[in-house]
Amino acid sequence: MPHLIHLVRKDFLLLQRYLWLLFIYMVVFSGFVQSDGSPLYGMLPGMVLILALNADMRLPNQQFLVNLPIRRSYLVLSKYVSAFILMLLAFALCMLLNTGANAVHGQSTAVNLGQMLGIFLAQLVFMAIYIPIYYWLGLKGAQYLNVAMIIVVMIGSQLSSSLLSDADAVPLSSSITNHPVAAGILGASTGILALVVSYLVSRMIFARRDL
Amino acid sequence: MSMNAVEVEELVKHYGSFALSGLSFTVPKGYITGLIGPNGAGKSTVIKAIMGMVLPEEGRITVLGNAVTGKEGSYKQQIGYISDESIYYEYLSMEQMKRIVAPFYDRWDEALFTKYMELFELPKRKKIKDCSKGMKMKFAIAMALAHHPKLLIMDEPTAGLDPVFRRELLDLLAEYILDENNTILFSTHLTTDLDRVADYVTFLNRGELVFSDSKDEVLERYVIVKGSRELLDPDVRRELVGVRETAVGFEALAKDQERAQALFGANALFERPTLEEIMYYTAKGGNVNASSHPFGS
Repeated sequence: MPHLIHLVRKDFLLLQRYLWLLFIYMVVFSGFVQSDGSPLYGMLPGMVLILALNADMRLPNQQFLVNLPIRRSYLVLSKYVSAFILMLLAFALCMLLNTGANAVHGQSTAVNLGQMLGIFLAQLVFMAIYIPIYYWLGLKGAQYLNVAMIIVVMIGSQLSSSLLSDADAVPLSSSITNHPVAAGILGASTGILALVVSYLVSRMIFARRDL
Repeated sequence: MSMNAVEVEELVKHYGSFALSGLSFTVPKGYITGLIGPNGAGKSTVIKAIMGMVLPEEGRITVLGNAVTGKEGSYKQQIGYISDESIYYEYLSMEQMKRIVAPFYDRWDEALFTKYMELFELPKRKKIKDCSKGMKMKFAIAMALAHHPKLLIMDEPTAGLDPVFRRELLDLLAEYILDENNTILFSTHLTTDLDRVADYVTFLNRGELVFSDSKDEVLERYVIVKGSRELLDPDVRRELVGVRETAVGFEALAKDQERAQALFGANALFERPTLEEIMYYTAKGGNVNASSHPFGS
């Protein structure tokens, strides 16, 4: 367990160099600058995920990690833990920014928790798909994957934006809000299942990799 | 308790046309073992297999009594690994990199790390990408030694380093090996370094083991033979590891000194070979025609 904490700490340290980039994204795509700040919910956590994984992308860095006195499976697990924490933080920051922007613009600051849960769940599923592909494609393939994933993040941001403003989504959103416990359990179960399966696949791929 | 720090048994690994085929050797505890061979011989692959970076198709590796499976990593607590290239995050400073690595080692010694950083005159706040190759190697050595490893594994550590630091490094290794519990495995194609410090030598060529023995025994067993070309006939050539012919005579390597002396008698000159000569003739094999000496004067 302490090793896991050290690995997560390492990911946070490596991400520091991208903070300025993330800050620019936060400002430019937030409700303070945009009339609709909802694309930020898809964009910022997606960017954080891609940056966190790619901090270790170079072969020498992968060799460094495998030379540490820890199991290979810990290296994979730590990526999931880091990515989850970072995405959660990014998502919370998005909520904070957009709520703040709404307050400044004199709009309602109420947060639709059902919608937020749905969007975050979608992001966890995105993460559950992205990480095994990242390990499977390896170092060279991951570069192409990143380009594809940035496009997916952009489209996903638009989709989340549409989801938030679509009138058709209101009944679904209401039903989630009216049954928060059931919705929460269903969402959490789906997210956990997706992440567990994803982790097992990633671990199996990385366990067989020569570096 | 095994007398060997590393045991490699029947190691098999294929990479396209390259293959390590059933490689077996040991690294005795308490000594410096040199892993030699020309580029592409498989030295780095063997070291990576020992460190769990490369997964063997067949065979078994034991390090300090622990079986290397590729999954377990705790045995690396006792290993200091120095790669031939920097494996650290280039955009971090040396201090930041140390802060990442140190918590993973139970026996990390901050005072010892600082001592090496000062000895090597390395500025902690300098980014790794701004360091010279020599500075990066010194930093890797400081990191590797700061957790008191029982086994130091170095993959081509002296390649590209200036002669002054190469000599300093060898002195450092000699100091480290003074503790009889410590062991060094040192891969290199610069065999002059091993002539100075190695106790044992393991020689790989094209993925196969040529020999793994004490350096003194190897240098006693092999012999350089010099004589006129008339001494060479097909039967004699078969007795030689490699032959280099010039207009005036030949120079050859024989792997059995007594046999060579019986074969040539007083008609030839016999000299003790260097590891470089053993490596050269073994790698070239057969006939090598040359108009000048391959090693300079």
